[in-house]
Amino acid sequence: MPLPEGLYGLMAEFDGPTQLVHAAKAAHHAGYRRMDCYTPYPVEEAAEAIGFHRD
Amino acid sequence: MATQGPIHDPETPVDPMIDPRTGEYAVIAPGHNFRSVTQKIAGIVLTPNTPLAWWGGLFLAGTIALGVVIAVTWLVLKGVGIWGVTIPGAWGFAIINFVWWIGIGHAGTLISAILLLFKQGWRNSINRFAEAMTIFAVVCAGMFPVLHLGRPWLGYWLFPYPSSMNYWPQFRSPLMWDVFAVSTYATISVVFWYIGMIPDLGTLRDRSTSKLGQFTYGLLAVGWRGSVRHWVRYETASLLLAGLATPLVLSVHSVISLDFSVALMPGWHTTIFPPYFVAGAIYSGFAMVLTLAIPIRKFYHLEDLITIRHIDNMAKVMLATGLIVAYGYSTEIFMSWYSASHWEYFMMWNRMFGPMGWSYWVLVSCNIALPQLMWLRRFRVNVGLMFLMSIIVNTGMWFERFVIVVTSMTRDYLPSSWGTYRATRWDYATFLGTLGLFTFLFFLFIRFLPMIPMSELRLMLPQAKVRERAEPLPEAGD
Repeated sequence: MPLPEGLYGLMAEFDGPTQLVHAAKAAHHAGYRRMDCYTPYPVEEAAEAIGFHRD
Repeated sequence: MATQGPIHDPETPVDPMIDPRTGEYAVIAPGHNFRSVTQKIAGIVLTPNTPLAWWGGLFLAGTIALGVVIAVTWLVLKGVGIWGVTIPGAWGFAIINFVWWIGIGHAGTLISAILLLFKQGWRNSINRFAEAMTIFAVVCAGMFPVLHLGRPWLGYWLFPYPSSMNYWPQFRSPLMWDVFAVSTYATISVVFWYIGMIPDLGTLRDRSTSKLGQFTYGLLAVGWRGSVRHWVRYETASLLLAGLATPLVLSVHSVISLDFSVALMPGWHTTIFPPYFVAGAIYSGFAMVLTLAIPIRKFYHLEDLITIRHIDNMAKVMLATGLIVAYGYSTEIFMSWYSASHWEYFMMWNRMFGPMGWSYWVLVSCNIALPQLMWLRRFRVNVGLMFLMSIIVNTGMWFERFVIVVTSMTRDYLPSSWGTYRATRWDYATFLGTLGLFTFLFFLFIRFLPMIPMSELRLMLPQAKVRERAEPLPEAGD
């Protein structure tokens, strides 16, 4: 199967929710929108950080 | 007399359950992290070595559950005449057991819905198996009224559907309201239980090493990835379902109490019944949660997750609801005198000192007298004694229904129509059989599904909190 050329996406793993939320905020601030956070329990701050709101 | 000393005696250690930073009680014992919590709970399900005691328990419970199969088969072949139900005691064990089982379920819904809305973090350790308890109790409860119909295969007549026979359910009968109350309750309980389990099923899917496990848990996890978008939807769904389930905690047993209080029977026709039944339901339900939780935490070494604090809290809920029940009993006694109704007065006398009077005193001692021991903290934190107390309260609550059903029915207004009630061996076989069935289903549940919500426990850990000021990470800062 041919792999798509170029950079497809980036993944990063964080040790804790604080670092995750911080990085998500920074990425959102830098203009990135197509991103997601994966957490083993609900982290409301992370959803807010990537601009996803309960509505 | 005593000289001034330090407030905390240095000889006695500070309670390790109190977080020294916040002074708050921790929900789970200190020293746990995400990995340890997940390993502990998922390990029970995913272990390749099923404990021998589990097989033994399953076998024993399954054998007792066969009693219900035999009893129901014989009932269908012979008819309800094999039970002790007759005129005037037409309700008998069938309705006693129905009310008892459905009442037990109520604690599960209270824990999962009302305590969620009240943000009671300690519920997180016990809500999953309390919900399972609710479902299995409703399964056992639902059997009785259907079998009591006499021709259980016509049970679908209870539903309003366009029938070519031109009949329609009698909507003015509370027995009809039961059908809707219980079926709604069963539906919401199953949906709430399953939705709440989806993230944990995802964890099991990811941790399972067998093909069958990965497939089954994967199917049940419906594509759960743990994305924060999922979590936001999940939490909204949980809150909505909690909102839907909350009125059911109050309404289901209220409707069941109306089966009695709408009838013009002495001792039944009272307005105190709905609140007093609901309190009794929660009382017996918490007792059953303790009956289940205490052996499970011991056997699977879950003392860190279901702590003494949980047992203490549940004891306090039981104490409070038990007092409401006691108030209900005293109101009944007061009203039987204050109503100046000869029939009500006789009913109360008959309950206390009639031929079945012994059952009233069993009820008073099990539901009112002995539970007052729970005022003592020393008693509440003694796991063995609390287990005993949970059995006592369950027994007492069964006798409460026995007293209500039997004493009012067998001696009503007309002494010439009085009778008595005597359960037959088939009544006992059906009742014991449902106890076996309940335990059997519970054994299957603790082996194949996560009995404690992993995701909710992770949330309770101190490291789950997002701290205000994070040190900027080199790769994330600019």
